[in-house]
Amino acid sequence: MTIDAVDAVPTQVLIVDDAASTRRFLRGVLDYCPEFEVAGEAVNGAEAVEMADSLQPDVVLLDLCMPVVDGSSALGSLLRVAPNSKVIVLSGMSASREEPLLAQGATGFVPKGLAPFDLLERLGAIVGRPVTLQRSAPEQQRPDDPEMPKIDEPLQARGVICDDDPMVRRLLGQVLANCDVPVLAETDGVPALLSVIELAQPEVLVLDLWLEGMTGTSAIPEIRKLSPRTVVLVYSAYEEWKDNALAAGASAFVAKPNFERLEAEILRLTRAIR
Amino acid sequence: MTTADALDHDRVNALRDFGNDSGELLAAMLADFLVEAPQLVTEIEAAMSTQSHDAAARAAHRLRGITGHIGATRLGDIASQVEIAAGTGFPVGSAALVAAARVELGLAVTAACVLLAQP
Repeated sequence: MTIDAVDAVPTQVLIVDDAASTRRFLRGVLDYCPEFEVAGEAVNGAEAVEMADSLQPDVVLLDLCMPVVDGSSALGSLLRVAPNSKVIVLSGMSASREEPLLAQGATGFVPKGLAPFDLLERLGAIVGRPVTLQRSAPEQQRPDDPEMPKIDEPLQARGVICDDDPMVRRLLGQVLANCDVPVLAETDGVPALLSVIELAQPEVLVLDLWLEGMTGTSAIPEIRKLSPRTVVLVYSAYEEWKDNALAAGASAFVAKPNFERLEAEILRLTRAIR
Repeated sequence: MTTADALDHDRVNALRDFGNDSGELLAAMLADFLVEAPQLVTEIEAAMSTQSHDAAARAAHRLRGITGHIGATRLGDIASQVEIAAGTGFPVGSAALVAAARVELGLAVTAACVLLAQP
């Protein structure tokens, strides 16, 4: 095998990070670099050891702060099950932790938060391969990507909160969490809300009616136009505005303060969606 | 503190220009931020109200991580301070810090929405 042929083989990388967005960022960056290929993704140290054992990757990109088994606890096991792998610690933790990790057998330490080019350059320098970039679009999500929604999976209802009171927003977030509805965004006024609705297309909006800049009632038709599938649940102290809100297109009205009733309404509405 | 400088322009441009210049990575990171950051700030607030220091520190650590991707530097700095505060048992002033995270989150979310809306 010539040196060129060896260089043509991409370095197999196992990404280990509990944060889905970080795994997506790393995959997104590595997919554009022909010198690297993502062999797999693990979400904690225990899973990383299992995957490293079966995949025998050239490089393990290892986060430190993770649930179940953290990165530093997994490092020894990783090197035991995949002795030819280079473990590069990729962490937002202090660089003062670099030396002990290198002493434990890590090959390198890269801080989180680097821009894509800088990250690739650092990784290339550590593994001893100059990196290039390909200009073609990366592969989309793999069919076996656990993050990829399956067609037959029930729809996950997602929520947006709009209320000018931060304490109420916090409590509404808790109510939505109780209903298994993740909160995509919280806003305290109509202009930001309309942007969020248009972009996020949430399944559920919990909307206060008394807002700075524009009343919630007058915003409802615009919201329905921007995202017709969004269920608008008005949560307001002004019960006399109920009829107007429903006439404007709200799906339901709950008078403040009544979090139990609100939770019941959210469950009822999201059951219909799911 | 404004929406206009809630995200680091150099980082946003680096993401936008990366790869095939179509801005796919930037869009993906902004979308992830819009989903995860509000949840993490809510987790921090809930953990603080119950004095769950470890949970608050974990959420703040993750928040710091995702702010780094899109250059939400101020929110990242606040998250870093919250992580330290949670690790030291939420000393006096921590509530203001968490409140600042909520305010800065609003700015960063709006900035992210504006960017996503651009063609």
